[in-house]
Amino acid sequence: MKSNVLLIMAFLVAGISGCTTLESLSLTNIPQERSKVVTAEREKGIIFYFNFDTDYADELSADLRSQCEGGVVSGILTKFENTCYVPLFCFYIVSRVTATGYCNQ
Amino acid sequence: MRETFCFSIIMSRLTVFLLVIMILPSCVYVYQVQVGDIDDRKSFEPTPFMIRVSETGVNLEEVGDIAQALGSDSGKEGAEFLKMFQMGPTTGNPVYNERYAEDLLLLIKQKCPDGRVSGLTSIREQRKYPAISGEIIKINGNCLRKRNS
Amino acid sequence: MKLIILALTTVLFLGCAHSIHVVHSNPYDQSPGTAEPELIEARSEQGVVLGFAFDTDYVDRAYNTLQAKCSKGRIEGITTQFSTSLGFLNWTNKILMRGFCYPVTKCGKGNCASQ
Repeated sequence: MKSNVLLIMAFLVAGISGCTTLESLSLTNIPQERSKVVTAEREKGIIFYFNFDTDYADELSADLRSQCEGGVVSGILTKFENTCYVPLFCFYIVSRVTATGYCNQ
Repeated sequence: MRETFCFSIIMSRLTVFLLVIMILPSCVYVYQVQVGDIDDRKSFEPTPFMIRVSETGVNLEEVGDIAQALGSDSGKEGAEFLKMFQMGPTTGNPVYNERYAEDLLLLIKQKCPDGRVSGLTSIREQRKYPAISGEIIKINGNCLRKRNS
Repeated sequence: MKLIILALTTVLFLGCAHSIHVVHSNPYDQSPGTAEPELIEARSEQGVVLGFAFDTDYVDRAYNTLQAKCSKGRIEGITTQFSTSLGFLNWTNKILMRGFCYPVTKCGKGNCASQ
């Protein structure tokens, strides 16, 4: 009985948080001055693996630029990850792109 | 006598098969390409360089299929058993040395010890042969040095 | 044939299999007159069992560790490697970041003529 409860709890925890896989990453040269951090994140839910565009990733650069107007954004760590939800048999996946950098104005 | 003759025919066919595999061109797959900043100003003289590091990858499934084709079912089972110990996400075939690409930065510095590195293109590719492959990381770039005016 | 299989099994059991997914490199400037940099590196890992991994915080750990090793300078020529060490029902995701740390000299800012 206890082992069944533990198994169900583990399944629920996995289901709520999802299984996250890193697909790719990149890091650009890091500046000396690192006081101002800028971050941009975009994600898209994909159902049954049907995905017809990647426009969500195009907005990242503009988002970073808007947070650092007239400055230089460098030291950018870009992560692309996929999170699949086990209770939904991974038929619902969230693709997330995160870019974090430093703004020097 | 007859068995020896059959065995020699099989071995000669195997030898021919292996020779043909070595001579035939391999298939190349690209997994990832990244292009960096490019500086093409006339005040610098570019010297192109290329760095390629590679390691042999092994596809146990194909090893098992080849073993089965050569009449060894135990070879196929052995390969499938070993494959259970190689679980996880893979790009290309698994390799047995994870450090083959760690010194890329030092290799770039050797190619350009006294200039400015620019136009770096990183390519992760695979050159595929039956059962084995070359897991390759190639970096092209330019070493910029100031022109003597 | 059995001996070959046994030898292969021993080698494969003793040596883990790995797979490199992503390698990214950055430019740097080592023109004459530039200070000699220090090579720094940061590594991080994430153990995954049965495919259950809930975050990618190990990437941020490597990022922060690399910056901590060059807190007062700039880091150039950063090469980033993302790989996985495979295993039985589990694997380990690994990040390696290497770069050149150019420390700030006293002449890094302002007028150096007095020196």
